[in-house]
Amino acid sequence: MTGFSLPSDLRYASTHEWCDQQGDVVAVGITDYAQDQLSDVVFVELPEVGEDFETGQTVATVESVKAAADVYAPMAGRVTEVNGTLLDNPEEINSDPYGSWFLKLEVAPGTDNPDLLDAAGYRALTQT
Amino acid sequence: MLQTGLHDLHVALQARMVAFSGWSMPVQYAAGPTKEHMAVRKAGGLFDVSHMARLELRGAGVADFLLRVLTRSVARRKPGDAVYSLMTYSDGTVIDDLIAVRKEAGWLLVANAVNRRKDLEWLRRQANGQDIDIVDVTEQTSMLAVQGPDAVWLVSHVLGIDAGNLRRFKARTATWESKSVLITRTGYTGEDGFELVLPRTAGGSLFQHLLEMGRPRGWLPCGLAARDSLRLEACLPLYGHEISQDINPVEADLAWAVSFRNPRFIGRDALLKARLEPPTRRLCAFRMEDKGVPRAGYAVYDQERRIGTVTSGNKSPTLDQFIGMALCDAPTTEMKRVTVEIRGRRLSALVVPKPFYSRPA
Repeated sequence: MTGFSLPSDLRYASTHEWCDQQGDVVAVGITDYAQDQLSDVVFVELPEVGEDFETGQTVATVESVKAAADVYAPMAGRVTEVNGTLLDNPEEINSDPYGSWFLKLEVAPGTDNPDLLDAAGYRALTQT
Repeated sequence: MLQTGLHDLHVALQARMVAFSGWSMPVQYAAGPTKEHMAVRKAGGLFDVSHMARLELRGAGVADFLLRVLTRSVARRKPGDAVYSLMTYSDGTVIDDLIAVRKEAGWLLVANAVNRRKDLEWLRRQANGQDIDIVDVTEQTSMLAVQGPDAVWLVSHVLGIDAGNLRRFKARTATWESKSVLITRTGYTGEDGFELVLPRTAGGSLFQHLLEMGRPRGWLPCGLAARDSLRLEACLPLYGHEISQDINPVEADLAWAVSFRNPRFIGRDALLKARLEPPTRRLCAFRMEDKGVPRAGYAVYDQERRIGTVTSGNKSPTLDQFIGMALCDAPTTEMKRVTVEIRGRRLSALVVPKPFYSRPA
């Protein structure tokens, strides 16, 4: 597994989500590795703004020509925003996985998920 | 795991290899399935289909034998003819679908990779005691599919023949690196195109050469994923999905591939009966009105009543819509609104005429 992009300022879940935490707001998407494994993405299902999720719950679904995959909440929180662009242009997930955030979660102050990996940890995971 | 003669080339072309019917096959190349699909619709695509079963039949009794095991009649077929046919059991269910090519000496049957052993066993059992040689040449040959509106140009250019003169479902030979290439004007994409069979070791260089000549004109190497979405748009059946031992040819809309003028093929009595009775199930095509990806096995409903099961489905790159085929209770009329249960939700779909795509005349 070489050549996958892994920005060092993001953190990663073992289930192949990336998250970008800015204070109490966490943007969530899927990694370059995940989009490559899925192949061409043809459809995404996003949650409603205002929905609450626990860590590890399914927040979105992404379907490719090959298969459907769930996207899990990397932290507990409430959806404040979804990326509607992806509904009409799901292929952007393939071409720009880190620009293609699925949704933003508002988390309680001080929330963290110690199971999230840094880039090196996630890279090691995809190489096993 | 079996490897085709083109395996190293696929790896060099950054193919993603997957297991398919005992073979390691490219499911996609660097461009990805959607771009590969559109290349075939707009210019052309090259496929390694060497996994398909290739069985040579020779001997004095072959023509009579084929009249017994194939649902289409080969009675008046001359060298250079190719025929799409089914092979059925005596109860009329489908063993396999295949293309039979009459060569100068004998016949070549091209059948599904998944059924290779089953077909061989069935054919050998039926041929028992007759003057027929059945030779499985799959692993000694390569088979390439050259598909797309630009296929006549590419095949003519690379093999030095006038490929445009070869009519649909006709065969001829040409030469590549002093080896004989059997060319049929056939395919599984809904486009114009050719399928080429040649000695295994010569397949890679021909593929590479076709690709080099084709690339500047928009050709791409294509994997199994694109092959599947292309055949789905053209509503071409896939064994194990639209046809199987549990689906008869009338239900699968393949009655045209059964010739009752052929008086003695295995399965004839059962199929004659099936043709006279209205079918209880029918293969229909549908497109999603709500957004969602229909996939094989999903349930189809008419209001609250379960009426069928999706046999194949995906996003159609050409139509930019989600489409599928389903085996449904007959009669399911065109333009009827149904629902497909997709991951726990009933989504609206419309039954539409087949096929979704046919190439411009």
